[in-house]
Amino acid sequence: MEFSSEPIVEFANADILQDDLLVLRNISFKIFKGEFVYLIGRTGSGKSSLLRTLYADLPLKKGNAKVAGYDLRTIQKKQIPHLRRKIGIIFQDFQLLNDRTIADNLFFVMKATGWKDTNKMKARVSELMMRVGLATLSNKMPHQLSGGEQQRIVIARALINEPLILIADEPTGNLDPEVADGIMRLFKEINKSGTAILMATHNHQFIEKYPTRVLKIEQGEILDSSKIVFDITNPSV
Amino acid sequence: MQRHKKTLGSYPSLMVMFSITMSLTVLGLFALILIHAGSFSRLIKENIEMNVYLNENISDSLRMEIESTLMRKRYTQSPEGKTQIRYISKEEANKIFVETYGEDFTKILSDSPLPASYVLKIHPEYSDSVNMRQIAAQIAQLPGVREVDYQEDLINKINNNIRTAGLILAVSAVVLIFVSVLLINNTIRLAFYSQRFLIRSMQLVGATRWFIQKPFLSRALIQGALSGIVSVLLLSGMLYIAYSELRELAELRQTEYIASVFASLIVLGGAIGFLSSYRAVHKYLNMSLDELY
Ligand SMILES: Nc1ncnc2c1ncn2[C@@H]1O[C@H](COP(=O)(O)OP(=O)(O)OP(=O)(O)O)[C@@H](O)[C@H]1O
Ligand SMILES: [Mg+2]
Repeated sequence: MEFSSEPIVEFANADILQDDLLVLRNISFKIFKGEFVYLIGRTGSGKSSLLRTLYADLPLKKGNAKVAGYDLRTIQKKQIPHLRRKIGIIFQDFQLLNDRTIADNLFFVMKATGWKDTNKMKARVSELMMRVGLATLSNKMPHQLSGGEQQRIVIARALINEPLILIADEPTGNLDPEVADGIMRLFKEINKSGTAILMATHNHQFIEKYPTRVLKIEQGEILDSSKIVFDITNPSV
Repeated sequence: MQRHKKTLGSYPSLMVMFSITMSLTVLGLFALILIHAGSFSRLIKENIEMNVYLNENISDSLRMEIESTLMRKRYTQSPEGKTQIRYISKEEANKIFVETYGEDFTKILSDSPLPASYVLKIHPEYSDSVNMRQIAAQIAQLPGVREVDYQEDLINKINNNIRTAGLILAVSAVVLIFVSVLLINNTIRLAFYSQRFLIRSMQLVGATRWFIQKPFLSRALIQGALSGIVSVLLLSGMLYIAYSELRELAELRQTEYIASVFASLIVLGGAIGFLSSYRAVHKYLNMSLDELY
């Protein structure tokens, strides 16, 4: 098998659990390099739980799953950090640190993930700031930025270690439509350069405007738009 | 504008250092007492004295007879072979009394009521209570001797006191170390709680456990060792005072033992800091950060 055809994410007959609560049963799907995938489903259906299982924040106890080459069933505690360095995480409860500048927020992540060379770190920060379109803001404090700008920094932070995949949980949730659209375009751009993206969202307008593969959680199962045709709009969402 | 940036692994250190310092000081005191107990009881043994009080109006010839009898005894010899007998005349006895108590009987009475006496320094070999009792009884038989006295069981008393003090110190040291460990545990729990966003962020971006622990561990290690140094300074001060109060103790000091106690205290301080923070950090890293409070 060719290396590039090896999926980045592969779930096979996996159960997703929150403590003892079975959220999703027996799910299987794959995500390949460079794919853009929406994850939808009504509130409480298990989108966040699935994403958290992906980066080993929730344990996988039944079935099989491989992410970025790590087997989630057998992964050891000390390997989890290395798995996470291959994943960019964009979660609403993972905000910027309010007590330091934007640049220091990025430096903080670099130091925590083993960066040592200050010159390389500085270069990487300007490169990332440029990439998310905020080249001049690195010395500002997070509260001096708008919600949309902060979200761009969060994306920059997720990109620091050149992850294979970005996992975003409702990244446009609190933003007004125009700003959210800008964020979506940034995701599209990042995706174009080869990073896979798995995004949980409630925003159907985006799915219509930027159509791509959709995974839909319905009654504890996963529907995959690449395999069957289904209506993404659900009256109960 | 001053920014107050939270740093991982920082925690209020005053109480922790105070508590480790206390534990180590008490423990060090215990060790120093153990070291000095031997020298101290030797010192006491070498200075055991017996008072032989003579009859009033004793004739000079009888007195000289008593003196030569005493001088011939082995127990009045020092270990170096010197005879250790001192005569205190009635006048001298009165003078000593006046110096000690500030009262002068001769001003009221025509004659001092204090008898003349011999002070014998007893050879350490005879300083146990059985020998002392025998010697005292023997001397009391001599004609012209009115009374013999000595401080009974002085050594036993001192040894018992040392033992009791040592026991109290040892138990307190154990309790204090336990308290320090609990305090460090609790301090780190609070630090984890107040730094939970930092720690959570680090975990999410893929910081290793070692990277997250390191600042806590190195801080506790350094503070433990610093506490050790502070307690060594305190103990040195105490030793200095003890030595200047008790010259003889200073002459018997065992510098190498003291130095190794001091070195051990610093190492132990570091170890207490490191191990108890290691235990705490591990415990709390295995817990979900929301469970900390
Ligand atoms: N920390 C938790 N502990 C226990 N149960 C949880 C926890 N978080 C979520 N759940 C439960 O797991 C199920 C799935 O929740 P999840 O957050 O994954 O849904 P979701 O699809 O992300 O919803 P939303 O669209 O509202 O974000 C729900 O029944 C929820 O009550
Ligand atoms: Mg959710």
